[in-house]
Amino acid sequence: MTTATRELALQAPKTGPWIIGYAVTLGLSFSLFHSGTITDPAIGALVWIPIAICTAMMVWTSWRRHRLLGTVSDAVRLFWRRFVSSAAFMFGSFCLLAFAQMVGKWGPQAEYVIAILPNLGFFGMVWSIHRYVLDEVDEYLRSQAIRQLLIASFVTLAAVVLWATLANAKVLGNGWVGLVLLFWFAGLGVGRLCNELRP
Amino acid sequence: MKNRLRVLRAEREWSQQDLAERLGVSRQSVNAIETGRYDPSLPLAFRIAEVFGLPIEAIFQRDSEA
Repeated sequence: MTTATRELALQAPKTGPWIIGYAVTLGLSFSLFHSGTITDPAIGALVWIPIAICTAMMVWTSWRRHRLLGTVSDAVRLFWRRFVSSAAFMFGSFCLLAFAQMVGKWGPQAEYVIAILPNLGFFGMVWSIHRYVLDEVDEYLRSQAIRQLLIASFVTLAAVVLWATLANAKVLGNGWVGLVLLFWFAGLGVGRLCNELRP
Repeated sequence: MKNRLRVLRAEREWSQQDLAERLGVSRQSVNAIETGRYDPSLPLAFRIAEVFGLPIEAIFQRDSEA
């Protein structure tokens, strides 16, 4: 890294604290649910606020850093556009679902349809990552992205297998399937950290 | 694999960004190759050789040869 680039990198907003914040809020929320401290779904919905803030800040700081360092390729630009649109759709669908369940009372069929919508947002996020790997013409950046995805897969599989083993041994209860998604995003964060620490 | 990218670039007074633009890759790629953290593919190695006007073996050497 040249001196000028190092100075620019120092000026860029840091992603690391938000990755740590994401992991901490995720762990804290999980412990609050698992210990039975939070039972009311309306209060439970509030724990998503800090997780959503940390996720948004991770995206924003990462984007700003790329912009400052001048490393925004066409593939990266397209990726962020697709990813943020999908994430916004997923978040909006979750809000709609929560509204339908708590206030709307639109009936089970409407709720069934609305419950499928967040999954479409998630598929969009996975698809945007898949497209990025295909669109990226810079072989080094592509190798970094693939390493990040492999680490995310490892983290997710390790967490799920560990959980399943503990659940089989009756040490842990059966987990909520949505946690897989959170593990995967946490894994992407770990992958990013690995790329930063050992590029 | 060792390479002389930094020396050749310095001789021409090119920054990493200048070389990256000539090669059509990111600055991080140039940095990773220069510092030996990443070995380029054969097509990229040929492009690097073309940009410097040198044969590949004049830029990249195996560790045992260096």
